[in-house]
Amino acid sequence: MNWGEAALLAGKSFGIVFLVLIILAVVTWLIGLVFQRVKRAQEKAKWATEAEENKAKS
Amino acid sequence: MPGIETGFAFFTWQRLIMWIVGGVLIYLGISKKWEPLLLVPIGFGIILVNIPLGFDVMGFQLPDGTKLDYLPPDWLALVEQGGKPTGFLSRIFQYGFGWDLIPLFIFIGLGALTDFSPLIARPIYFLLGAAAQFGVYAAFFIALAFGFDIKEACSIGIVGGADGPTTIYLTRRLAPVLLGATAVAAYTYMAMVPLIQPPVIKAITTKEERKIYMVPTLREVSKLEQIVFPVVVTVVVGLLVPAALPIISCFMFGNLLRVSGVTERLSNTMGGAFIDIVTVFLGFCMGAYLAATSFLQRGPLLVFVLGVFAFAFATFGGVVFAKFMNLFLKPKINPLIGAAGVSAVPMSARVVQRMGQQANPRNFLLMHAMGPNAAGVIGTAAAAGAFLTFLQ
Repeated sequence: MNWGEAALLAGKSFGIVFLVLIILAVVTWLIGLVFQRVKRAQEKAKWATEAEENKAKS
Repeated sequence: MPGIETGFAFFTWQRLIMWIVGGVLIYLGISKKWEPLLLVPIGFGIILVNIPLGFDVMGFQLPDGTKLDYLPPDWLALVEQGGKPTGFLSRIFQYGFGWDLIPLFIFIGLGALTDFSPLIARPIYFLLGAAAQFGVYAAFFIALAFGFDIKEACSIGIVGGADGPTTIYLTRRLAPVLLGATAVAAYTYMAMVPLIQPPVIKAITTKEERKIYMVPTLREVSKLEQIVFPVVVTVVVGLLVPAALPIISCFMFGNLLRVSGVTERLSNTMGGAFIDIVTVFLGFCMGAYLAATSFLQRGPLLVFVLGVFAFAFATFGGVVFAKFMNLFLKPKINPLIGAAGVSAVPMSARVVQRMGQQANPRNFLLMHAMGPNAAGVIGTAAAAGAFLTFLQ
């Protein structure tokens, strides 16, 4: 058994697992951030419109 | 007129042992309710294949015309030399597993049943899913120390991912001789997660750590985020580890059907009738693959022993990494949720929930634990893909 070769395989493979999941974590976090900002902006715009409508009514 | 040929003359004590093994699995499934959907068909399949002269069940005809009443471990190579399955289950096995259809179909169903919201809400849980793959590599080295070759060691290691279909997918490609043993070990130990994990978790956490309170609710995840998630995961994993693409794409496709909101019928079918049908064939065929002749050997039996270590080390990896993350996080996470990085969905998340409540009755960790749980499935698929990339 070539332990060096085995260690290299395990190291590279475990490294890939971490790399893939770290990238997924970052991408998911960024997407979540964008969606939350867009949602907040939409809500703000909606409130502003409603406030203007209420003002106009009163 | 020829005499009647009965199976008695061919009955051996090895077959009797396998009947007992099959009986125990059926007992555990029915009486203890441990993964009954799998253990009952597997147990019945084991009993069935070890009834002598069952040529029309799991039979196989060797290239020289000799008939066997079981599927030999090297059947794939024998098929290429002119051998052919002769039983109804061995034919299903040939196409279902030889072409990887059954594990991949299972993944479509699993995807349709999986809720990724906790993982999307707290993407940091991806790291716990990665850390729990430590079990895969620990078992890999132990298997090497026991004399298995590198491909067999990878197949044994992947048992630590606690993901049945991925285990089958990888073992079929790297070490088909161990297919039955790794599959049954994975499913049996998945069922035994409530027994394997608690002692390991208790050994490496203090009561104070287990008491750490986490707010039970996570942020609301929009529908659009849920729809984007499976597509993004497929593209990212597909680009980084193309060998894992079949598994991940089926998993994410099933999930897309679930979250799209317009394919409810398909999602219900995939997560209901479809996965049930495939599970029946998976369990029945896997059980019927465990003939005494090929299973009662040093290798397959050792796989069973090493499987426990794989699960224990996976739990260890997840929990220790959660403790490591706590050095940087505020507020701290309960390290128990690291144990859910073992992708036995939802078994390990339930274990975490129960242990969390035992330590602190205010704690409700299930939602948090589902995050690493789902990440663990992706992590195991990535680990399998990485092995395939380097070894195929």
